[in-house]
Amino acid sequence: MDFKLSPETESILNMVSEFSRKKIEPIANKIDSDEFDPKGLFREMGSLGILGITVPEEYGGANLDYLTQGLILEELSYYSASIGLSYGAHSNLVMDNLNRNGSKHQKERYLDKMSKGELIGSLCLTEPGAGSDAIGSMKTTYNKMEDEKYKINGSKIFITNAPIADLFLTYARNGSIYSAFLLERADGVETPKKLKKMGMRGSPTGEVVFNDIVVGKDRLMGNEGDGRRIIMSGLNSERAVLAFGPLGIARRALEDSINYSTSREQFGQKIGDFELIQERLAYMFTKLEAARLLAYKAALMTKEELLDPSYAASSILFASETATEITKHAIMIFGGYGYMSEYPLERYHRDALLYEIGAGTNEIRKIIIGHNIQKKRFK
Amino acid sequence: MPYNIIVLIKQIPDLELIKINKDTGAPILEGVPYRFENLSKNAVEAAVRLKEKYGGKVTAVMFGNEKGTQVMKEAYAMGVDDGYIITGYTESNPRFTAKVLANKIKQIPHDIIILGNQSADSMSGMLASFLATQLNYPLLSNALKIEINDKTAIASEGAEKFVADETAPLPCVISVTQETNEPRFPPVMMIMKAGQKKINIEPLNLPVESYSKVLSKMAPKSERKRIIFEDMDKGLPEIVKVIKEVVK
Ligand SMILES: Cc1cc2nc3c(=O)[nH]c(=O)nc-3n(C[C@H](O)[C@H](O)[C@H](O)COP(=O)(O)OP(=O)(O)OC[C@H]3O[C@@H](n4cnc5c(N)ncnc54)[C@H](O)[C@@H]3O)c2cc1C
Repeated sequence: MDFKLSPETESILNMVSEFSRKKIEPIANKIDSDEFDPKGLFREMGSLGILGITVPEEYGGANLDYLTQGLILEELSYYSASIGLSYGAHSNLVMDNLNRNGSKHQKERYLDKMSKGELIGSLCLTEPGAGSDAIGSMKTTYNKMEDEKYKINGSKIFITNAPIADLFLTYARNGSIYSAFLLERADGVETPKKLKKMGMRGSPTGEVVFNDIVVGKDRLMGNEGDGRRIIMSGLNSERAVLAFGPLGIARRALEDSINYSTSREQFGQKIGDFELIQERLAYMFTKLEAARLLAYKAALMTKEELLDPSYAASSILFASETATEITKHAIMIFGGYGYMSEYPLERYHRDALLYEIGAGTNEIRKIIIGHNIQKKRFK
Repeated sequence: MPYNIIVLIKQIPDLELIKINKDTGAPILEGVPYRFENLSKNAVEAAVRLKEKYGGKVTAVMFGNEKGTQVMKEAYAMGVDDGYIITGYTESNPRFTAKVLANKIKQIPHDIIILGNQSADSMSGMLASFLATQLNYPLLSNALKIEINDKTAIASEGAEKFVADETAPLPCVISVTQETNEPRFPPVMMIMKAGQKKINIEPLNLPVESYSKVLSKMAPKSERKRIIFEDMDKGLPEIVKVIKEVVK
């Protein structure tokens, strides 16, 4: 086994890295504000062809795997974790999900425009009263009406991209039957509030309200009752791909720390010459490399036929904890400067924490792993 | 009217990753990955834009080594149609490089030859004129804007504060700068297609001639003065005094 990527993947990553260095890095601080609107960047990412990376060519995609999608997300997150997160929600949570579960008509209607960044997607699962217990406590309902139409009522919260989204992949229940719907803003979906938050400020998060939304059968994704399966398989690929977000943040924090420790001097020498600083760096490097290996493996294992949710869950569990630790070490290596907002270190830490919560908290990930490894013996 | 355009490209070690040997001052090149030289990208962009505007074909030629395939694929992804790598490049020797490239260019149909006005690693800036001499073609250098009118190339050339329009009959050599354009980011689908395309690799078939030799390549020594002004009350005059002494 070698860890060489294909020359095409290398070229794609070179391209994303160069794009990010020129277009994202110079405004990374501006992006870190609640006012930032990433719509323009979506258009640009669309013209680069990275939004539809896992969907077929006929829909403007490239038909590549989750590893490639993850590596792109890592590269974006290295420059701006917010852009990485919004990319992940659009490209994986919505586009990839729609590609796996939608009808030909639905794919034609949405995917090509989403590949171009002309339509932005958001995935609506979490509700004010239904977070970790998203399925059991779900209150968003749908009713089938006489003319084969569906009426949807309820609200969702903490939805990435909601304030700028055109398409809302929404889960709703009818008693114990769960279904997935593709709702458009024009159907009457409201996004009243853009939420202020600790980190990931350039990735708009919001509330979504469905007030007697009536849609036809063409908006049902999959069959009625498929909701539970779609939620679970979606969360699995979401975790495998989003794990690369914390990797990107952590890699950036480590590189900044190495640069700083080889230039900052105290007591007449570089701080990197102090063994206590070296210990931090060695630890950061080791954890990052371990997290990377697990993320690569989980991304390659995340295929419908290999579906074992323990890998994706452990990948994002470990990557997110790693990023939290590494970004904290980075702040400490920078000392007082690390604590100042003029430096990006505190931003890395604020951004990193999200990955211990979003896509199911680390507690929930541990529960998934704990259950599954007992059910199934390792090969 | 369609044109046959040749663009000359180069790979260089990633300058951001080169470290300097503290004792000798020599750059450490081992393990440094190669990448697309900056101005070569501007040259490719200029060539592809001409193709998009007038039609025709863009052929890239690189004097390098087998490692250049990655860069050639990136050039394909930007819109280059065909590519040749001539292996056997050893070091900066622009007059010989010009000879090697001219030799290859003569085998390919061409109307316009585009290249960067220098390269980001050696920066000799001599290749364009050596090449024009070898081919006995006119040279339009530092072109900011390029247009073709039937059998004539028109280039707006930037020099300090002036912009001058110059023309040359085809075939001609045109050198570009980093202000000429902003190279495109190759989209994923073009990258995937480029991966399938054939790259022509040919060994150097000329004996190496040494016209110029690089004697040494060292980082400049910069000794910092490390002066700390501790007595704040003495203020600016003290700093001015020190600067005057150093400048002297
Ligand atoms: C920036 C951001 C973006 C987001 N984007 C989206 C999105 O695009 N779409 C979407 O649907 N959701 C999104 N979310 C929501 C996210 O998935 C939820 O916040 C998360 O699942 C946790 O739910 P909760 O916030 O209601 O916490 P709760 O479920 O209320 O959890 C509170 C605490 O209790 C713990 N806990 C809960 N149950 C257990 C248990 N059984 N055992 C042990 N501990 C437990 C949790 O781990 C946590 O520590 C986003 C959240 C954020 C912050």
